[in-house]
Amino acid sequence: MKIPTSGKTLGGTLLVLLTAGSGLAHADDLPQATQALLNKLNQRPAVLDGLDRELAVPPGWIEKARQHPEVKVTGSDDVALYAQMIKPFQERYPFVKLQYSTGSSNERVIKPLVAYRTGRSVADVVFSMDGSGSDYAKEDISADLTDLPGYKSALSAGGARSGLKVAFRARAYCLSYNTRLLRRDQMPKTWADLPDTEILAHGAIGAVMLPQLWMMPLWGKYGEAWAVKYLDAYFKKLQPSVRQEGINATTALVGAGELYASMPAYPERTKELQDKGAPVAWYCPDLVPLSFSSVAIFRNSPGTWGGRVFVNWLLSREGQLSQLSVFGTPPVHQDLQSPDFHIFPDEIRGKELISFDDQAETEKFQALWKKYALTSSRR
Amino acid sequence: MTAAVSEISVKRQALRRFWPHRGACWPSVVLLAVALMVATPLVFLVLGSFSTADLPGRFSLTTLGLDNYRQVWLDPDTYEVFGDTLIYVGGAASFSIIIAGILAWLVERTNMPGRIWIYAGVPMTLAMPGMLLGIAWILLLSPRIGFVNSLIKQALGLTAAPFNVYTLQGMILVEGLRLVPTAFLMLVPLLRSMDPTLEEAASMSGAGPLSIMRRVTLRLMLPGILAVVIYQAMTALEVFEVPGILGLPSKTYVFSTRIYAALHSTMGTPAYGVANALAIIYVAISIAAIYFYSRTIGRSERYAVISGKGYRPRPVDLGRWRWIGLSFCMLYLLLSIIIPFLVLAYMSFLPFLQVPSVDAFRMMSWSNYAELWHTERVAAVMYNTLILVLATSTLTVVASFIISLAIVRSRFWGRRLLDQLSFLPHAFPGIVLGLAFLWVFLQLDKIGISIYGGVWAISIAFTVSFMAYGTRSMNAALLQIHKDLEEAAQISGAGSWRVMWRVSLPLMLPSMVGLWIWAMLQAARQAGTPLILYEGTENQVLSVFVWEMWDHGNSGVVAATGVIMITALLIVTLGLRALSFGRAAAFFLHTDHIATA
Repeated sequence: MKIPTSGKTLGGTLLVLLTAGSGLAHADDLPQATQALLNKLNQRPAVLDGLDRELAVPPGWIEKARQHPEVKVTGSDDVALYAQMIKPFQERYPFVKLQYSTGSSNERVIKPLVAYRTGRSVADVVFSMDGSGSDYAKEDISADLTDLPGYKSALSAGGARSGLKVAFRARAYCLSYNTRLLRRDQMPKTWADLPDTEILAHGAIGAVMLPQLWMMPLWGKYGEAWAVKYLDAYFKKLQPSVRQEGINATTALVGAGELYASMPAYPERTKELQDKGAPVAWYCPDLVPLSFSSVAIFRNSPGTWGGRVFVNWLLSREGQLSQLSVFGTPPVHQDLQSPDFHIFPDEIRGKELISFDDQAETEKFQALWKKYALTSSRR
Repeated sequence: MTAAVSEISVKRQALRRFWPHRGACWPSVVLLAVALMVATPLVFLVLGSFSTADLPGRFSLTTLGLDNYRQVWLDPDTYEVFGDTLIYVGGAASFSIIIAGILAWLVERTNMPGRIWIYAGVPMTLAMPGMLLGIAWILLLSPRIGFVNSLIKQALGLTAAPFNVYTLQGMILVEGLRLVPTAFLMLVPLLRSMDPTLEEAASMSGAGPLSIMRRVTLRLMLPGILAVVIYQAMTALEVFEVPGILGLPSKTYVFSTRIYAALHSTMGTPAYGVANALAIIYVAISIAAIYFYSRTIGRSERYAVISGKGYRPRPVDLGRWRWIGLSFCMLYLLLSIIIPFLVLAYMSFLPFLQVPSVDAFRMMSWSNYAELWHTERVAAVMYNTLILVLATSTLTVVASFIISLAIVRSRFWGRRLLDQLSFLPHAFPGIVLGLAFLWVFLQLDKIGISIYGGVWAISIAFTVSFMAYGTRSMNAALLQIHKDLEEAAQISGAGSWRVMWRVSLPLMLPSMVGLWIWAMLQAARQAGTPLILYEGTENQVLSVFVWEMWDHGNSGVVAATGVIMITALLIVTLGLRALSFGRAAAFFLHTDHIATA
């Protein structure tokens, strides 16, 4: 997948989109929070042209959402920032009461799945559930999302849309490194070089237990045989420090100098640490593994209809721009694609973005990873 | 007159029937309740270990098989893990008991200065959650950023770090330090209650202090020490936090982290069956430990050291060594709480995790505390935590006392079974116990009893879990109070309730307060069980909040929470300790008075 490179800046890109719009939206029609976010992005309302069509859900959904206004949402984002992001939604749909909670992958993805199977509803909407996408599919508990008006506006490549889940956010998953301990030219030029990068060997690099985010795109690009051989070299030569902490915690350890580097790393979290003065940087070798963060809705949970209304809004231009303005994460809306939407555009520009989604292959990979990652160090 | 006397006599007989004699019914009720609380999750644990279904909700008798056991025992890693666990458990338990034994002896039996402060200070280390302690020690002894390592490297011109906390030795040191207060709290009552005339007799016969300790003190304390050894070894076996923080990065596994890794999968469904099969090993070890413990306790009468005779422990004069003793105690407090607390306090003022430097001190601010203050759910988290710790500690004390009363003081036919059942929960790692109770609560939910997901679910699971320590502690305390005292009161005309209220309870009060504080601190800091049993942000407790913040990389907020949490626990514990000292002194005087009379 190639991201169009027209528009060198966020403003430029939005201007292109604005002029390409079929008509101008009126600022007065927009929620105050939306007006505020447009001001923050220094954009005009016309960038949201077509929004009405995207938000036009069947009236029955709204009615059912009113009957069950509480929607339990789990995700990986900070609670306070999440509250900021959903402000436009709350103005549009004040009757939908979102109860957002966050936690480890186990807490926010696995636990709701297990609870749902045992007859309880812990969550209605589960964000960032890709690591367990195959389990969700196997359980056949997710709602079909193809009837969301916003579904078709999402990117179609690399498993961004698969009926039972849909991407709400795209992220490039590369490495973070400590700039006091490493220079950029010491980082591997290609992914193939990584296992032989001596300076990162013997526990200097932290490997978070979410390897599918960077490895599956490589698996898809080079094939299974290459990936199996690569993993063997990765664990035997590089000997990474396998971390049970989350991605953010591991990047924080890089900032502290406890680890030289970590993978995968969120660009926005790395930027946040940089802004606080931490000696961290974000780096991508020759290819940019792009993984989508997807959302699923439990089919028969009480808040499923309110959840549909919410997810549909998030997929719309307004939702995607709100997400961009608060979190800095690149949108998945087809009309909002540019390297400039990425936090570190120079690490993206000119490189091939790769993504891959295949449940069977992912399961094979997970079994292989666990074999290596959970084997005692003595062996 | 005759009628009145007759009435009193009838009442007394009725009360005495309540007292746990052979025919009393209430020990049977206690046994039934404990059996329900303990055996039910155990049954689910065992059944789950044979279940080949991928989710607990899909369990059925047709899905039973040996696949999980095959997977566990055919994996060569299991044997590696077994060896490492043995070293880790043996090391941490031995280290903690030696340190705790020295501390307890210095505090209780010597004239070391500042004993009251050391006595109050050692249990304070319980306030330090294992995860935070692990993080603090990373900042001290990590080969890369460890402050101590950096200082030594600079001072001696070394190229490699002298210490590495990510090793079995590192885990033993940190877990050993963490285990000391529990051992201390178990050993202090033993030493305090011991009749010093036996030691004095040995001294009069020409035995030296070491010989007295070895041949008199230690032998008298044998059942108590055995209980502590068993308990400490099993705690080290089940604890996850320290091996999780220090062992997982270097892939040094022990059983608890192996189970955690099986349960906390970030890729795919957790391997519940494998986790249960691994947990069964704990149960097997627990049964063996209980067997040895029962043999010791069976001969308990030989070890009764508080009798109806008057006693007043006389401190050993350490002479010049008392300052060395004090230095030893201070070193322990320094390593176990003061330095880790300072590290946390340092972290709490930083915008991001970093080693101490001039720049770091320039960056300091209150922003993490402000963030904590402005986080909406903190109020709910604090409220839930308060309910949890108060309910859990009170339930633990009450339940443990009643159970121990039936075990130690009755001739009830099932007292040995009761003792064994009450110790069994210690065989469950917090995470596995949480999982087992999850099954139980979900079944209760089906019949309209909604407990799952709330604070009470966690509290019940904690109470059952803490009963093991609670009953050990209460058993030991009751064993040390000779029946002479109660029998003397009964002969003087006191009814059973009055004997319990005026004799047993006052003598037990210091132990009860100690247990209450211990349970409160454990409930506040343990994350394993709450992580499994809580549901929704409205039911979060502090330990879960801290875990979540760390997982999100908010080390500053974690440290700020830790500082507030530890300070609050210190204040509460110090207050209660001060109160219990006063009360304990009053009761001891009162007991002496009764005994003399």
